[in-house]
Amino acid sequence: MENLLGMSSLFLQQLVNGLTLGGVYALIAVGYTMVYGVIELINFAHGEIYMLGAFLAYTMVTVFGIPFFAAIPLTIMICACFGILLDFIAYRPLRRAPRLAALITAIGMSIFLQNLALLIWGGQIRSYPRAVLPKAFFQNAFVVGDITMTWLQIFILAVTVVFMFILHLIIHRTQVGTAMRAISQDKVTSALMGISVNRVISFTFAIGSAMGAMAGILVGLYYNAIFPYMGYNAGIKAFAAAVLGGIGSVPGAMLGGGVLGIAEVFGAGYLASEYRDGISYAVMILVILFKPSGLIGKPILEKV
Amino acid sequence: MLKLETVHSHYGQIHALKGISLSVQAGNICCLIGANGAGKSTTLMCISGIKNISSGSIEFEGRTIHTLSPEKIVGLGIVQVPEGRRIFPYLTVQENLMMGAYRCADKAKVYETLEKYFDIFPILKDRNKQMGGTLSGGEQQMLAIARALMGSPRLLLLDEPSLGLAPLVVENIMNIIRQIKSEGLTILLVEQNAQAALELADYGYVIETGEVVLEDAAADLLQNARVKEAYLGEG
Repeated sequence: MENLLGMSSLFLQQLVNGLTLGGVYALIAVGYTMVYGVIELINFAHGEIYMLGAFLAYTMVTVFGIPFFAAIPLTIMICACFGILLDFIAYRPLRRAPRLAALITAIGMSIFLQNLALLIWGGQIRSYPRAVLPKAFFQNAFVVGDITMTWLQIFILAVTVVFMFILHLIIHRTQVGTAMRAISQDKVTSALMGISVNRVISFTFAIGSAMGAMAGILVGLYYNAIFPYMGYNAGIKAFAAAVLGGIGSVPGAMLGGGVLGIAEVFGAGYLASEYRDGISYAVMILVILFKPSGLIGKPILEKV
Repeated sequence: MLKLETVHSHYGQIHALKGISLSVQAGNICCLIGANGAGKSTTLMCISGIKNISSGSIEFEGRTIHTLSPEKIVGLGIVQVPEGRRIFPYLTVQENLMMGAYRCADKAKVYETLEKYFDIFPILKDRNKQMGGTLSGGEQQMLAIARALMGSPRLLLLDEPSLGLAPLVVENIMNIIRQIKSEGLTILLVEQNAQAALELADYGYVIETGEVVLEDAAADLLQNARVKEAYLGEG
């Protein structure tokens, strides 16, 4: 009995950790999936926006002495603008080019931004100084039996939920959100309706980048590690989450992020922590094998 | 109202339009008839600014429009109902209609227009929460027309509205077009169903392999021996 209780509390603890991680993956994944939805491009530089988000907030609190909670919205705004700029410089000139050209450009931008960050911030791993963060972040919010949850975890989960809710409202309740969905279904007809396709695409980049930047700050907090290559691994994982849920589908990216985060934490907890990346990719491969359109992705519609 | 002057257009090496010249008079229905691949849809896509023209000019009310972006052209009052209807399948009927009014900032007016077309097309009102893709072909065509009208156009470009519809539904759609015209809207109609189009139109152009081969008042085209033989299945 004792043993059983111990097992179930470990299970719950892992679930809590998995949800925290999954929420962050989901925040990044929606950026991939939204951009893919409107321009059929895997924006491989999205992970770098996430990295820049972590670094910008870091610089604001350490160099400029901006309070942490003021640095968050500032960082988000700058990264949103940065996403628009990225599209404008790198992708818009290639809108009518073969898709491979834009994909290679995305990889190029990713490498460029990694090295730019290396140049600006150097290669050592940084972390947000504890002094600028609320003390409560590192205190336990509650302890039930063997399960503990810190305020930081609660903060991450809450931010994730709030951001997802806002995103849902934007996509389903605003005109520009409806236009985003329209463009993802039929670009030519959207243009024929008078929708400024490029402006909506810019907006999509802005929203995706804002979510990515927030995720970067959260991960920087959670793992205490900010470094130029942090976007690579997180980017690939989030991309996997987007594919898992069905690329192009926003609820899919949310679900995919959650599933991946939980699978990863459970794999690390019950098997071996070295396998954590392997497990998340194995989950993705299984889904692609058996349900190529993703968990809730729409199958390609036959045009009549 | 609308004037095309020796418009050429290419798809890569393919010379799709070889100097199309035509004009549409305000308040009229003008129709383009011709076989599959003659360049009718390309002509409309050039007018809407989706397809670039290689040479020639397109003017709307004296203003050159072939250099403008598609959304600017919509802003001037030229709206197209594309071939195959192209409803947004995963938007609801109402969202589809709202997209037609995308450029109208006046929300109150948009809802007023919406109510107006719900009155004209009650079936759309019944199904306003349904996904566009779940409608039948005829309903989708009505939605496509209503969606274009939501933008309060002055010139409506209609591409093959009868395509793939049952004869009874075609008749219904043609009546709707007649009704729209009676409200003073100018229409450029592209049709393979030459009989139905010419009965409806004031003026017609016959297009073959990217060129205008014949133009005349629609009533005269209906009597034209060549048109009868090639497009009306008579003679």
